[in-house]
Amino acid sequence: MAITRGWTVALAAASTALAAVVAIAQPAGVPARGADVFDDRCSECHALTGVHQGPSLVGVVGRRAGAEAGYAYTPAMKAAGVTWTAAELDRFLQGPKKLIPGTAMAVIISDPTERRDLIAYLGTLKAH
Amino acid sequence: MPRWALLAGLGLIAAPALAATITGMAAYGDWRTDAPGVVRHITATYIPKDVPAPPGVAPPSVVARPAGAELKTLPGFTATVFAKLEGPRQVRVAPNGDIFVAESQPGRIMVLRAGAGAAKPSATETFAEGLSRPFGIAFYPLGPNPQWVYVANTGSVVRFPYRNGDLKARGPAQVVVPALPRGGYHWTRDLAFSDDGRTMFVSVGSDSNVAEGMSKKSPAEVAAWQRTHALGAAWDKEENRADVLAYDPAGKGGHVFAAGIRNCVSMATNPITHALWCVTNERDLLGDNLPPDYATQVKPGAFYGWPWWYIGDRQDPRHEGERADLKGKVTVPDVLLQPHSAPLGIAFYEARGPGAFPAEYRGDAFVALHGSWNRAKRTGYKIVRVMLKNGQPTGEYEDFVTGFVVDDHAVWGRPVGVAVAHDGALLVADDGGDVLWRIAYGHH
Repeated sequence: MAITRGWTVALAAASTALAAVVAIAQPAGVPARGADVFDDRCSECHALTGVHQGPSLVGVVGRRAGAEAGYAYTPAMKAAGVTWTAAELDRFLQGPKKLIPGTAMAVIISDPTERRDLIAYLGTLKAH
Repeated sequence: MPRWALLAGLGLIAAPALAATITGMAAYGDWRTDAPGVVRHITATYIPKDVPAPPGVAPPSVVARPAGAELKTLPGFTATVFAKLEGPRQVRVAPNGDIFVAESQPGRIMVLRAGAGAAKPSATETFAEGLSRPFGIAFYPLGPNPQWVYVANTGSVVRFPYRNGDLKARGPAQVVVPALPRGGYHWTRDLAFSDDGRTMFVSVGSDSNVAEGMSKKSPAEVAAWQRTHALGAAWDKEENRADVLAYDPAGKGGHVFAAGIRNCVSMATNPITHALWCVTNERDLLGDNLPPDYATQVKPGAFYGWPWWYIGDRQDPRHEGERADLKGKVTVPDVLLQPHSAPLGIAFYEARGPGAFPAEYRGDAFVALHGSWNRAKRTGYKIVRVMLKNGQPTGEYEDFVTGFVVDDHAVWGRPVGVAVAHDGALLVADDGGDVLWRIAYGHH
């Protein structure tokens, strides 16, 4: 429907603009601090090499949700239609079940600085 | 014919425990063979050989409660949603009957108040917030008039001043233990006081699955280490982890009370023997049926095997040839639970009065099994009753509440903490369904 689509485009434009403002307003995350957040909050389920309870997070930034080969994703994650930009990861980490109902991911990182540092760290995890 | 038998005949409810206790390989079942009344006894003399599960196992989808889905209970019991919460984990009942719940991920301690037999709380308040993954809750001093609510964050123990009836902390947190080891695999820290009030127990799970990254020591180095550390104490990032630690109630005199307990998530003291009990999550990636999780009495100075040994003198293949000095010194846990069940909560049942469960439950323990991920067919996702006689475990446990599993891939609830309300009902925190369940007997 044209009207709906128009709204969607407008909303998308608005949220992009908002994301840009947020990006300007906030300091960049510090990967070294993010590594500590990862150890403290993520490493029970996510390994840096291969599949564990959760999928590997190497290369997660920019990856489509539910796309890591070899991991048995929930149907909810496979159907999420989300690409893990820094902004989407930031939303997800504030309440995974709110963004993707049915996900097995339970960890909430409510501190914005911790989220920023963690996402900066995740951005350094590149597949070789 | 009693009503339950009629309903059981119609397939509407499970029959109570009439069948014999399941032992041997048959006791290593999964959710498809779970039902209230099924009794298992997993023994240390029969531990199957196994191989690591093929890749592709993962935690389940946690889905909304399907239409018409109900928990399965024994005849005479009901399971109803008592309160909606956000990621409820540990539950403890204050001496005045108020119900304290840790919402760990949001960093809050909630307090709920309800009259005897009430189906819902009459008051729900945030007792304290801004905490760092709080889990353990304990009231001190023991007895009817505690002055403090102790809370274990993932990296510290704090206490709030408290008087009976407080729904909000009446003062800021005081730090009792400033720095617990933190990070890595296991973040929950539970608290319990000894029944004489002199010791505060703090459980700290391991940093890793099986200490894969821990440095190797030569026999001489091991001997030197053991001279100044608790039997079986680990080192490097695992120092003071996979342990139950003990302090005085002011947080002084910290030491390892018992070691080699991979992840003691919840503790409780046995009301008859006063022994400290603990439910433990054993290691992963050894196979669907290895090794059993457990509920056990925690003996001072004892070593329970992690990471080198399990269930007595069975060597972990990832530590082949290490720590021969500990062989024969590994304490076998009391009650072995199906591997990967993930026991997260334990509470002893002592209630009397009009709403209490039948007398045969008195002195037994309830254990909540959060459920497996490292297993091809799911197990856990239920509340079991651990059988004791005169305070001593028989080794048997009975399915008490089941029904959270939808199929091999999805569940609609994951039980965590258990506690007994003053009206005799069993309260169960469920961080999959974001609710607190009330399991009641009769019309209470």
